[in-house]
Amino acid sequence: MKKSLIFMGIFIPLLFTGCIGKLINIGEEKGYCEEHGCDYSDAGVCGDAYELFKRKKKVSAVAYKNIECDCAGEFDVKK
Amino acid sequence: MNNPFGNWNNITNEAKKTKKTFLDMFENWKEKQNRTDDVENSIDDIDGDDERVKKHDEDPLKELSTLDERVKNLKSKTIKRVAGVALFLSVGMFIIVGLVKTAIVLSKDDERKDVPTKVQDLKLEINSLTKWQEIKDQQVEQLGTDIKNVEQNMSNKMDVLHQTISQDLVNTASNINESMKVLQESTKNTISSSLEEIKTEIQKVNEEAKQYTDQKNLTVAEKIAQIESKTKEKQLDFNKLSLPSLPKPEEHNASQIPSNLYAAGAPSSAGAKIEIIEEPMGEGTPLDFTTFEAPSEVNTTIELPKMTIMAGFQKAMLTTGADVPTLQKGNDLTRNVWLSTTGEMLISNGHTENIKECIIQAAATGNFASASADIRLTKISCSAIDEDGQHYKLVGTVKGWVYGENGKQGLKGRLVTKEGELIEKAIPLTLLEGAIKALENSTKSSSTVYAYPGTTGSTDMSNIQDSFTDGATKTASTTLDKFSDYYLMILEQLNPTIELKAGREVTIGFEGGEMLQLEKYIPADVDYFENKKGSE
Repeated sequence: MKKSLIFMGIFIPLLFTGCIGKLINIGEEKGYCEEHGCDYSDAGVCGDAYELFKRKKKVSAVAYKNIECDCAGEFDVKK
Repeated sequence: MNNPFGNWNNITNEAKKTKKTFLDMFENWKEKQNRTDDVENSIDDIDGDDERVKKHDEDPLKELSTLDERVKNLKSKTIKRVAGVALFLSVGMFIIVGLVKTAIVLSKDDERKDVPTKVQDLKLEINSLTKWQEIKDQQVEQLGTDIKNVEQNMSNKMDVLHQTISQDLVNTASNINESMKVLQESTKNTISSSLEEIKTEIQKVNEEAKQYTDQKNLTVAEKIAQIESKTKEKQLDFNKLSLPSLPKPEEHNASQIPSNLYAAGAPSSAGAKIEIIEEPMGEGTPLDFTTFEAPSEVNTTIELPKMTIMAGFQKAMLTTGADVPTLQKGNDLTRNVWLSTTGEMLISNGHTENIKECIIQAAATGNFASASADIRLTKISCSAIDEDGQHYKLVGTVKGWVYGENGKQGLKGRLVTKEGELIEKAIPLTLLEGAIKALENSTKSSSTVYAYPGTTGSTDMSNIQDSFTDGATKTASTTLDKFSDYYLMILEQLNPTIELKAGREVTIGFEGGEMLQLEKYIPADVDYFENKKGSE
């Protein structure tokens, strides 16, 4: 009984950390693009739509400021 | 020539001499005058003594009067003497001045006497022509020599000047040549550079023109194809028309023509043939059914072209962001987003379409698994202005999808879940509900009455208490149930969402095949009447 309790006490917190989840996972956790920094989920501007539409030429420079995509090469949005 | 100063000295000496003589004379005169005075005084003294004696003898007052008279006499005498002396002196001075002036005049006269003698000498010299000639010759020679000297000096100076000027000219010429060379080189360089620039610009312009013409040709070809297809569609099928058959000209006889048509004197039409005159109905214009009914409308209204959106790709910017829900059901599944197109649209066969700066409306649905939002296009709205300032619109429904920066369908966004908030808000409610249920169960268990044998079982007070608590717990549970329903309603809204931020550059993939009609429109202007007034 004690052994099982100890086992549960170690195993359950490990589940929360995600270590066991990684071991169990069949596929990859992230896609290739995301893995190479091409995660554009946070791209964009938290700005007013009217102003964005008005000055849309300036937007792209700001929208992808913090994203460094390695695998896009010369086809990167920034370029 | 005599020295005039010598004469002047003589005159001054003479004047001095005369002055001495005058002074000597004046002293002599003074001595003489003193002597005469002494003599007169002595005479007076003698006379006075006599008179005094006489007067002393006569009267002392008379003596005094005589003394006054004497004083008066003495005063008059002294005045006379002073006046005489002054007269003498003035006369003497006048004489001296006159003498001095005469001496000066005389000395000047002496000088005048000398002048004619000199003039005479000169006259003598002038009269002798030879001398004059000699003098002149000498003067002329001197002049010649002077002129020669001057000429030599001038020639020397001119030579020096020539030399300096020539040197300066040579220097300036060399400088000019050098500067000209430099200028030529610089101009050559600038001209060559500018020529190169011009060449490159011309090449660029040519390329652009070529591209433009190619595009235009393509668009024109497409339009022509469209027009041709339209014309084919609208062409009249003569086989399907059921027009009445025209009578043949041979069938018309004179007997069939009404008799009233025969006028007196008119030529008889017996045996005459009716001629059919064919009128041209236009060259190469395809027939349209609408022309039969209202031919005038065709001439007045200009048909605007219908434009086809082909399958292709178009760059666009996400102008509005959205929090797209993922696990939601019903109508509130999608969120509206707006896209603004940029650049030209690439269609098949390397051709392009132009829907630049158009606005596209789209619907976004959340995908929890991929943490992305799938966006489907719904409407397109374009506006154009012609040369006359007329506005035209190209509005219609379109089909298409939005592709993200990674080239995948849908836009990746941040997955926002609110489990924590959900649990935070749900736990107190559940705890409260559990507590109420526990209380309810306890009251149920306590309200059971056990009647022992031999007892009446009268437990009134305890029953009232139990019923009160039972009622209270029930009402609390019902209110809590309603409250939990309300909470559940709220918690349902706390679905995980995909946050899409605005300003993202996306690619639109059009399904294609939509025909959009170009239509004229008047842009909304609230100040229309005011502007109209102003224009009037």
